[in-house]
Amino acid sequence: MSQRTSPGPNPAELLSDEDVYEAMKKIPGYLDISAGDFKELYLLAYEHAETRLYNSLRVAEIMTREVITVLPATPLAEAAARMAKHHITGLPVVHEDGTVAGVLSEQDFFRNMGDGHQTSCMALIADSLASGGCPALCMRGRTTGEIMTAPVITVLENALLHEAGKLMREKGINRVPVTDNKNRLLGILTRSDLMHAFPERGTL
Amino acid sequence: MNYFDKMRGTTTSPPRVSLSEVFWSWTGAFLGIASVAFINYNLLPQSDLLMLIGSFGASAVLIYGAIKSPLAQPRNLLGGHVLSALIGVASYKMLAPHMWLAAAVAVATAIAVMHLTKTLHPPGGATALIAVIGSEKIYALGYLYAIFPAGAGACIMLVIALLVNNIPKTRRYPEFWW
Repeated sequence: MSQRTSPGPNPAELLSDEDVYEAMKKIPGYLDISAGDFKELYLLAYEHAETRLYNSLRVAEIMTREVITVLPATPLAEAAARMAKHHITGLPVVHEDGTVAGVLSEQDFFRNMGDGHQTSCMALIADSLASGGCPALCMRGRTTGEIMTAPVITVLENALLHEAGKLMREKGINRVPVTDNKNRLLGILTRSDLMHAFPERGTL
Repeated sequence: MNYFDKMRGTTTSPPRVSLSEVFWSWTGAFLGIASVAFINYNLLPQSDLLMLIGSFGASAVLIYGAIKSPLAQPRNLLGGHVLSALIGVASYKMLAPHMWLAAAVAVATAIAVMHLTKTLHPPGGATALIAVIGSEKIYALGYLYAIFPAGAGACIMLVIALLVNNIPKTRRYPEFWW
């Protein structure tokens, strides 16, 4: 059990027979159930509760509200520095009025570096070591608006969480901007938000 | 799990109950059985009716000693005894010369019907069996056996359970009615 790497272990799996036995002692009267049956029941009930919550929660209830953003006019150097500082691999791009313009992610940088075929950091390192040049230099002086992904998929704040999760899975995206009905950014829903809220659903 | 591994068991037995639980189980069982036994031995001996059958001893374990159990709830107590009694009498009437078959069909069918009606109550199996094993008095009752003693006796024991099981702060009965 100590090998688990997901954000939080399922409490039901941590229950030992002794825990159940001690709990049963606290309830006066004869309980017509074995510790093993209780654990099995508890695990299933926990799973059921998790599914029920997952199917009824709204995006706004678990999204990240403090979002790091950039403007379309933000120079790429500054955008990259901001992403590095906050240890994030992508961020929403918003207009002055707060509406969503697009998303800027690592992938957008990769696509504009070198010959444009690299999709990972290691591929870029290999490429620049072989050619002797820095593939990032060609982006110097350019702005966020020029390389960002736009238009982007967004979800409304009152969308159901499981619909947003399904959308992210189907489109293969790690983050989706959350907006009001005027397309103004309210927050961002990331894969790690989902992982923290539902550790057992790992591969959302 | 492997077939033979399953036979080793997987978990611990439940804890022993407190002395107060033992006391209230004893008190409930004493008063419950006293009521049906008094009626049986002191009020009914001149009649063809009876009020006490062996399966009530088993019901007492559940409704006074394991009162939280789903098996001990009113639905199970009343439904289990009445339905099993009907099945027991029917088995005897239809299969009587073949006593081994009547006994087996009575108990097995009682379990199946109690499952299907969500009235599983282990003493019901005994109630069905007693209808086949009998005494001459029980045979003579015919289907009345389902009402006297099975249904009526269970009702009296239920009233005692409601009165006694709710006295101590740590106990309540029933968990559900139907």
